[in-house]
Formats: sequence, C-alpha cells, structure tokens
Amino acid sequence: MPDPSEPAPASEQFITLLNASHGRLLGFLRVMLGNSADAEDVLQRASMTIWRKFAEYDPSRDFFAWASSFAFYEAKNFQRAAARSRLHFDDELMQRLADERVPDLDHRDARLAAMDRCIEELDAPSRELVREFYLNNTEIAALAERLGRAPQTLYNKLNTLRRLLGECMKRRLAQEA
Amino acid sequence: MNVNPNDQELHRLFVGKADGTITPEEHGRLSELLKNSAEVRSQWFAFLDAESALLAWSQREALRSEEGVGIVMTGNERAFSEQRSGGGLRYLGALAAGIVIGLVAWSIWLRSADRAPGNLTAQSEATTSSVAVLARGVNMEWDRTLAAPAVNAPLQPGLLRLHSGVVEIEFFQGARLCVEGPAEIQLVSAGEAFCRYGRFSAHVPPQARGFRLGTPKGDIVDLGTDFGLDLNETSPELHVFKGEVELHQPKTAMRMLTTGTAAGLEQPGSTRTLVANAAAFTFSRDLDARVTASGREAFDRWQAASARWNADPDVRLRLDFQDEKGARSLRNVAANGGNIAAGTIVGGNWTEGRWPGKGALQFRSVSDRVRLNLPGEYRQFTFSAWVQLHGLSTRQSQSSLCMSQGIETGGIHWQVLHDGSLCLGIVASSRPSVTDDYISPVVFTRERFGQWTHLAAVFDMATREVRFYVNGERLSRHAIKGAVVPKPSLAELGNWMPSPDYPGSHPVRNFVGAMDDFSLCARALNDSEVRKLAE
Repeated sequence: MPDPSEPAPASEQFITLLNASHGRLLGFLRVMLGNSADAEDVLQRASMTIWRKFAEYDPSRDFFAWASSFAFYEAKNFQRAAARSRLHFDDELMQRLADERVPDLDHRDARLAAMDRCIEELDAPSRELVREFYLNNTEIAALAERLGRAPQTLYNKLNTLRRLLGECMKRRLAQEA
Repeated sequence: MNVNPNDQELHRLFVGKADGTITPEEHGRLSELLKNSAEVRSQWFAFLDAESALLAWSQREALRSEEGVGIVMTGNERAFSEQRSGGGLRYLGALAAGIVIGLVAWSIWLRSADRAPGNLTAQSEATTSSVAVLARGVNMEWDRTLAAPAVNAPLQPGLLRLHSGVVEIEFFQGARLCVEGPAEIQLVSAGEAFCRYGRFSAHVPPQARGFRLGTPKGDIVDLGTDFGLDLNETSPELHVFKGEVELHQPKTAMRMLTTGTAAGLEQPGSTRTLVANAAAFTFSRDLDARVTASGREAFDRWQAASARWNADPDVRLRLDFQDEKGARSLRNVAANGGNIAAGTIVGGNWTEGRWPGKGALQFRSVSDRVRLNLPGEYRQFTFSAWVQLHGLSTRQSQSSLCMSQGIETGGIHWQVLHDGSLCLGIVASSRPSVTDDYISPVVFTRERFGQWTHLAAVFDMATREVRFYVNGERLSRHAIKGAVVPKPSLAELGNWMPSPDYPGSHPVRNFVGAMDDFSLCARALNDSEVRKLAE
C-alpha cells in the first residue's frame, strides 16, 4: 500500500504533466515542421531534454508554456540537422509560427471534435480511403498499387476529400461560434 | 466566408508540405504566404489540426476493426501496432537504447495517442439516425430477428415487431405512441411511422402537430390530439379522443375527425361512424401501473437473490446501495466480508436505482467517488457491478469503475475506455510504469447510455484467463500476461487518485453515471454464476 505521506515521485509528476500536454505539444510542433512524423520525432527528443531539466521546473508555472520552449529549440535543431536534403521553414517563420500557435492551440480541441463529426458524414468508400491513407503513413503509391488504382487519381480524390473535410470543419466551427 | 481564389492553391501547398510532395518553388511560395499573412497562418494551423484529427480517427478505426475480429491486444500492443502503421517505429529505437524515461513516457503517451483527440460523443451525434426513444415498456416480447430494444434505447428508422407487451415510443418531434402487441410498426422519421397491425394510442402535443401515421387502410395526420388506432383484421378503427385528425384514404376526399368521433377504416370512405371509445385503449393508461408493478416484482426477486449472494463465502465485498437515506458510507453486507470496511462516499448523490425503492449513487463531477480499502491478494477475483453510464466525456480518456490508487505493483484498474470498451489492468511494474491491460470489444455505444447494464470482470491465475461479461453474457476472453498477483489495496469506485497528495493537475478518470450494486468475490465465477448475477 502506498504511504499517503510520501509525495509523488518526480517521474510520475513528469509523466502526468507530459501526458496532459502531449497533444498540445505535438500540435505546437506540427505547424513548424509540417508533418506528424517529424513532430513526433522532435517531441520524443525534446522530452529527454524536458526530463533532464525537470528539476528546474516550477510547479506553479504552466507546464506547457515551460516545456514548449524546449520543444521549440529541439525543432530548430532538427531542422538544421536535416536541412540539406529537405525543405524547411526558416528561423524567422518558425519563430512567428511558434508565437502564434500558442494562443491558437485553444481552438485545437474544438477543431478535432468538429472534424470527427465531419468524417462520419463521408460515405463508406471515402472513409476507407482516408483511413488507409493515414494508416499507411501517407504512402499513396503503395496504397494505389494495393487498390489497383492510378496513384494520381487516388491522390486527387483524397485531396478533394481533405479539402471538403476542411471546409466542413470550418463550417461546423462557425456554426458553433 | 467569401470564395477566396487562393483557397485551392493554399490547400494544395498545405497538402504538399504535409505529405512531403512539395517542390522547392512551391515551398518558397508557401513560406512567403505564411510570412505575409496572419490569415494564412491561421488556416495552416487549422489544416494541421484537421490532419491530426484524421490521423487519430484512422487509428481508432483500425483498432475498432481489429477488435471486431477478436484480436485482443494489451494497451502496449495496441500502441505498438498503431505506431507501426503510423510509421512510428523510431520509438522502438529509443526503447532499445534503454532510456527508461522514454519507456515510461512512451507507454503513457502511446495510450494517449489512441485516445487523445477521441470524441466519442461527437461521433455518436454525427452518426445518429435515431428518430425516437423507447420510453417505457412492460412484458416486452420482441421479434428478435428484427430488433429487441430495451427501455431508454434510441430507435432508428426501421421495422419493429412486438409479439406481446406494451411499449411507449417517444418520437423526437414530441409525439408519444403507445403500442400494444401483437403489433408491427415501421419507424420512418421523427414525425412519421407506418403501422401494419396492432393497437396504438397516440398523444400528439402542439409542437408535434403534423405527426403522421400510415396504415394499410390510409394515412392519419394528427393536428394536435389524442387518438386511438385499432388495426385488427376485420374492423380497423380510428378513435379521436381530443382535437382533430385528418384521415387520408385512397380515392376518397380527406376526412376530418374531431373530438369524440371515430371511423371504421375497412373501406375507403367507409360510412361507418362511431363514437370514440376510450375504454378500448386503456392499455395506454394502464401502462403506469403495470410499469410500477413489474418494477416491484423485479425488486423482490433481486432482494431474494441478493441475500443468497451475500452469503457466498467467497464474496469479500458487497455493496447493495440500500443504505439509509443520506448515508455517507456504503455498508459491506457480505457475510464473509469481515476485513473490508464500509466504503466512504465522497461527493456523489443518492438517486433511484433500477427500480423504485432501489438506492443508487450518482457520479457526476470529477470529485465524486467511493473510497475503499481492499486488503489482501487475489489470485482469483470477480468484479460485478450494475451501472448506468450517462455518456463518455469528450475530453477524458477513461472512466473508472473500480481503480486502485496510484500505479503500485498489483494495483487493479477496472475502467471504461473512451471508445466504450472495458479495460482490466493489473499494474505489473510501478517504476517504470507497466500495466498489463486486457481490453474488451466496445460495449458502451450510445444505445447503451442511460440503460442499466451489468458488468463483470473475472481474473483467474489458475486458468490464466481474464473474462469480460456484459448483462450476463461472456463478451471476451484474454490470456493472462504476467505473474503479478493482484493487490487492490486502496481503491475507488467511479474515480481514480494517482496518489494521495498529488500536486497540480492530474488525469481525470471519473465515471459519469450511476451505480446500484457492486461486489468483489475472491473466486473466478463461471459463466452461469455470472449470468445469475445479471438476472
């Protein structure tokens, strides 16, 4: 039985806090990096830094605000390391996105909820296409081969769906507002 | 919103950036646009949140279909499979490197990954095609090949055949239709149904004006009334008790029937006119009394069965929720429950349980809980509970049924997951945190919200099996993973405390609903024993 007088270990506090901010941190990184795989990578790395620095964390402060600064620098490091072969936003733009994304994250939950409802409005084949695409890490060529369809046709169809879904999401948010 | 000619281009650029198909020129253009326009940046944020939602939805869908074919995975396995399909194998690299915190954070994150933006309620709303709710019913015998809805179940358009009994259907538009079996009715919309045969009694309040009942003999449009409809073979009749009803029959002019009149329906334009006879439709007025009587009988049966169950030597904890009014603790009424004290109620209000006279606790706020101390180790145990789930929160990932405090080795976490599946977790290791999770297929879909449901979870180290039961039926079986002997210790019904003096915010696990029966038995009950508890 746990001793009621024993304070929660730092690791537990850390995990709970990190867990609670996970979605927001990921959403924060995503706007600078552009895709989810990179955002996850960076967050994984950043979490190490955040853990190492955790002793310095002042519990009276907002954990997300504190942790996101480490995530931001990790994202910049990541960009630099991978910069030669790929296209990245420059530092100035990253800074601006980071600054504006923090207040914008307040809308994230409502967007996710609205989108969940929009997805359900799709017909079954469209939902299937969306599901397969995201599950296969957006590898359209492999998906097209499996479905016996031309990759470009499939990709066009998918992007039309993404646009419609995006519009549906905006519409729902506007209605709720 | 105005039709911005750039919307299409923007979307193309966003998609290209997200998918990695963007050309250097396009990337330059996107960067420019983002730098120069707050509106574009705001759209970029919304776009990526939409992408997050689609990814999360796809992962949940995949899980759902995997569970549908009976593959049962632990939480960690689920997470692995998702990450694999989601392209996140790099987590495994971190694990291999032996970074402990990585492991801990990872195991918890991945759980959150499959739950994070989950929004079951919203999804249900989007998919709901219900048009009515089964408000009450007695002695219902349904044709089970069609559907056999329970009381409080939402009803979708479709055919219902009631062999016997009386039910009351409330249409979402406001009309109330009482049906006496044998009867067949096709629900069409929130304001329309087609009755093939049977006896019906309708109450149509002003806001449901225009409620339409089709019959093989013609259509009835209600203009705000009470009326009865008897669709028997030889002399079908319509009786208007109050207000006005339009009767539309083929090849004849519409007829208006008013208070106190009735009409035979056997022939279009039949001249047989009658006086409305309310006595022929008393089944609707008797419904109240019959519901009460059948509740009383069920309550009596429960009391008899309850006494037998309390006497079972393996029952260690039995909360029957029949404590005196306003009590702040729950008596342990198990005959052999000597070393388990009464549960302490924190928050939570008393309410009515399955029947009048049956007490229940309502769990509503994040603070509501019942604190228990469950000493000892359990190589075998059965949890049994009657619960009424009001819903699954959009913001929280799990709802506790009974959870040990903290994440101590041997702790038991019995909970409803955000998607409506049940999870029994045994904490295998406290630091790093590893829990052996056993997860059932989805139980709580919106059809089950508001309905009293019996849940049981059986853990048996002798046969190395975990079993889940719903309303007495076995739902799934899972092989036991670890060798840790469960030790519930301090635990809570309806909530979870990460540790007694937790600083700051902590995850919310509160159950939103009511509970009117809970027991812990130190034996792995078999199928028929569980079925008895669910009767």
